[in-house]
Amino acid sequence: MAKEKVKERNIWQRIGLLDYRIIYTLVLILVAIPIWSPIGIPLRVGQNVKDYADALYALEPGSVVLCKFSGYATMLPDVEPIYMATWKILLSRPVKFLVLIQHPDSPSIIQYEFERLKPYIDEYGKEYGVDYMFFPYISMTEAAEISFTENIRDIFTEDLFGTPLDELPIMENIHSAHDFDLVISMSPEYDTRRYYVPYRIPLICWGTGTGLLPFVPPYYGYSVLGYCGGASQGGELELYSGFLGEGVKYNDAKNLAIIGLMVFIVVGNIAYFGEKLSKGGEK
Amino acid sequence: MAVNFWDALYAFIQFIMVLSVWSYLYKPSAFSRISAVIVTSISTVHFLMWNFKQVINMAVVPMVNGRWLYIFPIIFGILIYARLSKKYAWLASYSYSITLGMGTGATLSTLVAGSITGLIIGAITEPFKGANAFEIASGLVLWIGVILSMTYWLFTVEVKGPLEYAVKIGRLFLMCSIGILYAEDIIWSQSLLVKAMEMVVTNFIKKVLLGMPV
Repeated sequence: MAKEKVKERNIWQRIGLLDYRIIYTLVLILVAIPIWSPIGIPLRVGQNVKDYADALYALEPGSVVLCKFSGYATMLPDVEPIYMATWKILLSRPVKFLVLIQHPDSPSIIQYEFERLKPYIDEYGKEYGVDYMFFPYISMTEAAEISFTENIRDIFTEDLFGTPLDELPIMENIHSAHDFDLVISMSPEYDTRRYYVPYRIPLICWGTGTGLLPFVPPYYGYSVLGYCGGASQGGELELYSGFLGEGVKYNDAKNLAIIGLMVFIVVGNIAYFGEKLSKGGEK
Repeated sequence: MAVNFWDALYAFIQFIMVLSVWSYLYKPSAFSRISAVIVTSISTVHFLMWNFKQVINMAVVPMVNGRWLYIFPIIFGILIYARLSKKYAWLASYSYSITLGMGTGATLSTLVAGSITGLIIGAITEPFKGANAFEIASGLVLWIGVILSMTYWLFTVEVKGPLEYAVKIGRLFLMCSIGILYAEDIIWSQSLLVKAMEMVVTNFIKKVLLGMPV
C-alpha cells in the first residue's frame, strides 16, 4: 500500500520529500572536507572590519581600552577568531586594556585564551597588571554599570585573581569612564547609552553574527567606529591584521556548507514551484 | 606525533559527545538524550555555583566586614524566593519593583539621546555620506526603505491610495531585514557545526587516531 503511494508521487514531490538525513550527511561531508584539508576560498575584507581594526591601530600610545568580554562556551565557535585577533592587535600596540568579564563562563575562557597568547605576550613584552588586567565576573546590571563608570572602585576592589586594584600599576591613573579612550562592546545600543552619550567614548563592536550584525548598522557612523561579528568576519580581521588563526580556516568550511545549503534551498524551491505548476496552480 | 594521555582522553570525550548529539539527526536516541542531560546539568550547576559565589563575595563578605548596608540587597534577593509560596508571593513584588525601577531610571537617563535622537539624526544624515555614487545610491535606497518601513506601522490612518503601495514596499524591506536575522542564525549554527566537526576531524581523528601533526 505504502509502495503504491510512493509510485503515485511525481518527480517534484519526490525531490521535495528528499530524506533529510541525506541532506545532513552531505552538509557534514562538505564541512569535513576543508577541515581535513583547507581549500583557501578567497576572502574579501569588509569596510566595517577595516574600520574596527583601524580604530585599534589609531589609538595613541598609553590609551586605555575597556573590553567588555562575554565569551561563553556555545558562542565561542562564532566569535573566538575575533577575540583572538583583537587581543593580538591590542598586545602589539602600546596601549592598556581592561577586560570587563560579563558571563560566568568568561573567567575560565579569558585565562585559557591568554595562555594561548603567551608567545605574543612575550614577543611584545607585555605584562599582566601593567599592560592589561581582568576584572572579576559580576552580574552587571545597568545600575551597577552606571556606578562602575562613575567610580570603578565602587564596584570592584580587586581583580579576577584577588589582587587589590590599587596594587596593580595599570590602575594607577584609571578611576572612571573618563579615563577610557575606547570601549569594545557586544551591545551597541546599551553601550551607546552607557559610554557614548554621557562620556563621548567611541565604541567598536565585536560579537556573534546573529547577536550583533543585525543590530549594529544603525549605530555605525554614530557611536560605533567599526564592527566585527561572527567567525566569517573574524577571518577577515585575521587577514587584515596579519594575525592569521582559526577564523580563516573556519571560513572555508562555512562557505562550503553554505553553498551546499543554498543548493538544497534552490532544489526545494524548484520542487515546490514545479509541483504547483504541474497541478496547474491548484492548491 | 605522540599525544599525551589526558589530551587524548579529552579529545575522545569530545568525539563521543559530538557523535552522541549528532545521532539526534538520524533519530532521537539514548545517546543524544544522555549527552543533552549531561550538558544541561553541568551548565545549571556551573551557573548556580558561580552566582552563589558571587553573592558570597560581593554581598555577604562585605556585610560581615562591616559594610552593613549590604544587608538590604541580600534581603531583597531572598524576597524573590517568596514567589515559591502562594501566601507570601506578594513580598517578591518589592524586589521586582526596585530592580525594574532602577533599571528603567538608568535606561531612561540616556535613552533619548542614545537610541532616539541620535539614531534619527544618523538615519537622516548617514545615507548621504557615501564616498562614491554607488554608496550614495545604496544609502538613498536604505533611506527610502526606512521611511517606507515606518509606514507599515501606521495604524491611525486608513491604508489606501499611494499609502497602500508605500506599506507594501515597506513590508518588503521589513521582510528582507527579518530574512537577514534568520540567515545570521543559520550561519551561527554553522559555526557551531564547524567547531564540532573540528573536534571530530582534527582533534580526534587526525591528532589522536592517526597521530598527524595539526
